[in-house]
This record gives sequence, structure tokens and C-alpha cells, in this order.
Amino acid sequence: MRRLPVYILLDTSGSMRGEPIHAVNNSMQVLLSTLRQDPHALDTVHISLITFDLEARVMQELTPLDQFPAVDLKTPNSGPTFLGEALKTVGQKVKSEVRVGSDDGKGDWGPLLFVMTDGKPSDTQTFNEQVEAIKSAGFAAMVGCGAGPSADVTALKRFCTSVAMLDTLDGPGFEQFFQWVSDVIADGSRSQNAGPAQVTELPPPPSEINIVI
Amino acid sequence: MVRKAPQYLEGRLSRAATAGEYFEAELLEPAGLTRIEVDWPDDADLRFAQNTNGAWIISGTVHQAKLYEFIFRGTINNKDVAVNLRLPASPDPWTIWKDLPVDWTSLPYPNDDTDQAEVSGALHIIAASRRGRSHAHKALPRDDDMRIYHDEATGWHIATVADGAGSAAFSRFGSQTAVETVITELPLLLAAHMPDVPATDMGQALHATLGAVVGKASDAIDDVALSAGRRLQDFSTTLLIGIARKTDAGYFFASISVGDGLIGLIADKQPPLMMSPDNGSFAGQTAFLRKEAFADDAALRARIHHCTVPDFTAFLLMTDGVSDPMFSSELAAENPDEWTTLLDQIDRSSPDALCDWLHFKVKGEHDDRTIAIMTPSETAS
Repeated sequence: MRRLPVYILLDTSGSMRGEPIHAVNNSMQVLLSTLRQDPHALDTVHISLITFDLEARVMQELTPLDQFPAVDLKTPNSGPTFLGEALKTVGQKVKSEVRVGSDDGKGDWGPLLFVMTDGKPSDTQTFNEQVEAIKSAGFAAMVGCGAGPSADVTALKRFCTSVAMLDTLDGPGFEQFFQWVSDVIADGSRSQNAGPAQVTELPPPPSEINIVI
Repeated sequence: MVRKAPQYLEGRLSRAATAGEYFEAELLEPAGLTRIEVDWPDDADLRFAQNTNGAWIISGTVHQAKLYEFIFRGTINNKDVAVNLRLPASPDPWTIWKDLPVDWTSLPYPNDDTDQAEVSGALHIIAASRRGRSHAHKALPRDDDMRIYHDEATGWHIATVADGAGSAAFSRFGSQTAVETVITELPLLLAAHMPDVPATDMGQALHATLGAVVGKASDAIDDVALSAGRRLQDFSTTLLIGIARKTDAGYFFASISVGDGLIGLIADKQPPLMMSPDNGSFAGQTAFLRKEAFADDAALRARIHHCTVPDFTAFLLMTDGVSDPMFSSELAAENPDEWTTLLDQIDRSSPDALCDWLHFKVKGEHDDRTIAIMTPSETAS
């Protein structure tokens, strides 16, 4: 069975505490329940959830959509944003989990990466190293979301194929972004052109989302 | 004694459920529960039990596809707790596929959801094409196409199938243009350069026929894109062509392909695979009918296969909507038994029956499906 592996990286640093993390939890739940209405997604989508604050944590290993449990993300009171560590973790996971086609077996669909952060990477050196590594990890698309005024959109642009910007850290903003995530995932198992240089075309984002050029 | 209000906790399960399917999940949080007491929801048959490791396992069946959310009471370290538990339940995917018609009022290049055909000469050809479930679910059109042809005068049989790229907006017209071009041009090329199976210079003859027609199909798509003022990649398609004729020595077959899908011949002592599929590292990655795919002669010749056999059972061409669910790998497609197993499954009693057969169910495989099958004519031997 060909899987569509989806890696979701969410910032759970201290600044997300309160309403923002509550909104992200709600949006994750909406994302999962929306995808579960899609029979094709139920057959193919596998999701891995990785959070990052003062460490990168695999909250849920790559799991078939229909088995993905309810999650409740929490945040520490304060602390750094280890985005570099998160990229390192996802890079290792992709290498060991995603199946590449060969003569005796079929490959998965090209994996998708989603990264949401409201800050800037605190682990600058690791981040700089991982930016290049993640670009050659084989993702069909890497979608970034800079949420709120302190988000370092430039950092996301260094590796993401598309970057969305949310003005505020509130429910409607996250909902819109996760709606787009759902559209991109639902679209993810279509023919992709061969070749590493090809970037998969994404469905248009909701009008409320600003795409950073 | 005043009994304190129980501490409120959030529960976490190891996995979710599917409506109507028995499941087991471990309660990962909170830890240390020595007692659980639940008022179960009405639309579920569930129970909690501790396994030998002391972990609490929830098991049973939920009847609705929804988010089950309920609070249970328990005891941790002799203290009462109340745990909120969320259990998402997915629907059985087979129960929620929609079959939505395409709204052609806003779309160019209309086509039909299915197509089927049958012709007969020294060989019998039957073919069918069907819109995939994933397209029907979203009211999207069929992007596959096919044509079959038999020329009584020259004795040539032609079958061609094409799979328009799912990521290309007008690929249905790319695949249509490709197969139309083949069926219009190839008989002329065959009449001119290959009136019979050549005894010498086979490579040259196939290059001037199969090789040339692939170039013409690619040119035709260029013209379509140019005159419509659209991008070439909006018409991306694969193209598979098989030709056959009866000869004094038996049967002659030749093929050319750009992209994925499969062409195979079922005949005694004959390797079945008659194409080299263009497969990328990941699913759905393939090559499309463009100049780059046959830029030089060597690249073009590598795409051509041919053979002569004294007798045969079937010659098949199919898009990846059929080959992906039917062959687990490229190695499997080199195994003659896999081809025979496939042929035995196919209802070939009529074009309509073949089209119905194309609706077969395999988890995760819901692409457009197209197949063409040549067999020896019963009257011809």
C-alpha cells in the first residue's frame, strides 16, 4: 500500500501558552476530522506529529489517519524554540520511515512537511545545518506558517517551498491555515513529476491567508 | 468527613477507532489508575480491562463515525480522579465514496466517465476505460483515454492507452490528443514503412513507425497547448502503444511507451514484460510525453520492444490505475504467473463487462483505470 506520509511540526514554546495553543489543539482536531471525511485520505494518509520548544518531541509516530488518536498539546511556561532540533528529528524520521520505490517494492507518495512557529529558531547553529539537510530529504512540499508578529518568516523561507503568514495568534487564523493544510494533504496523492527539482503545485490557500513571496 | 472534588485529568489513548470495527487501544495517560468506572456512551460497546503489565486497555466497537468524548472516574494513589477521554472514530472509507457528475458548464474538453470498445481481425481487441473513485468523489473528470484499431487491409492491430497527469488541469485532453494522433497517424506510418513484419532492419522500421508516432503525438499536444494559449504541462500525459499482427511464424508484437502503466505479453517461454516503465522514487512520479523523453535516438530506441511468438494467450496494455493495484512491484511484472493470475480475474465477456470489472476494490487504489487486451481470434486459427 502506498502511503502519503505527512509530518507536522508545531511550535509549543512558552509564547504559545494560553489561547494560541488552545487554538492549535482545536485546529488539529478539525484537521483530523476533516481528513477523516475523505475516503482517499483514510486509505493513504499517515501523520507524524512533532512538537518543539526547549526540545523536539515526537508526540505521535507516523500513524495511519484512521488510527491517529486525539492529542492535547501543552506548552512550558517559557523557553527557547528549537526549530533546528525539530528539523533534525524529522530528517531522521523521514529517512527511516518513508519508503522509496525500488525494483521489488513501490514507494510511498512524496512526503509532505508542515511547520508552524510563532518565533524564531533559538538553536541557530543546528538550524543552519538542518536547513540544507531538510531540502534534500525528499519532501514533495514543505509548507511553513509564521504565526503572529514575532514569527521569523525569513527563517521559514530558507527551506519551505511555501510560507503563509498569520497576523495574529488566534483561533480563526489557525483554522484557516489548518484548512489549507487539509487541502494540501487531500491533494497530495496525485501524480507528481519525477525528479528532485520538481516542486508539487499546491491548491490555493484560503483568501485570509497571506502567502509570503 | 468532607470528600474532596476529584482531580480533573486529560486522558490519552494509543490509537483511534473505526466505526463498526473491533479495536483495542492502550490508555497512555494518566498513569497509575487502580480503578476505572465508566458510564459508556449508548452508541458503543466498549470495556476497560487491565492487561498483564497493568496497563488499561479499552476494547470493543463504536457504532458511529464521530468524536466520542466522555468522562470516567478512577482512582490514582487512593485519590479520586475524573478523566476526560476523547476517542475519534473514522467511517469505513468504502461507505463514504461519492459518485459525483462533472459539471462541464465551466470546464473545457468534455469527455465521458467511461468508454469501451471492441474490434476483431486475426486478433480480437477489447478495451475499457473508467473514471477512478478519487475523481468521481470530487466531481473531477476521467483523465485516462484509449483507442483500439484494426486494419483489415494491412492486417495490423493497434491498441493505445494514455493516462493524463492528475496534477495537470487539462490532461484529459492531453491523453485524448495522444491516443487520437496514434490511431490517425500510425496506420499510415505502418502502411508506408512496415507493410509487413520486416525480415531485416527491424530497429529502423519500428523507429520509423512507433518512434515517429510518439513524436507526432507529442507535437500534437504542443499544438493544442499553443493554440489554446495554455501551458504545455497542463496537458501532461503518458502514452502506451502496442501493435500486433498474425504472421507465417505466428504472431508479431511491438510496443513503445512513455511513462508508467504496463504492457505485457502472455505467451509460452516468453518474458511477459514488454516495456520499461518510467517510475520515480515516490508513488505517482513518472515521465510524461514530452520531447525530453525521447530526445536522442538511443533514448527512443530503449522505449521500443518487439517479439515474435508461435502462439500467445493475451497481449495487455494498461494505465497505472490497473497495474499499480495488480502488480506489487516491477519484479512482479516480470513474473509470467502474475500476468496469468491477472488475466484470470478479468471479465472479458463483453466491453461492458470489462468496464464493470475495472471498478474492482483495492484499498488505496482509486485512480482512473484503462485496459486493452488482445487475444487470438477464435475464428482466425
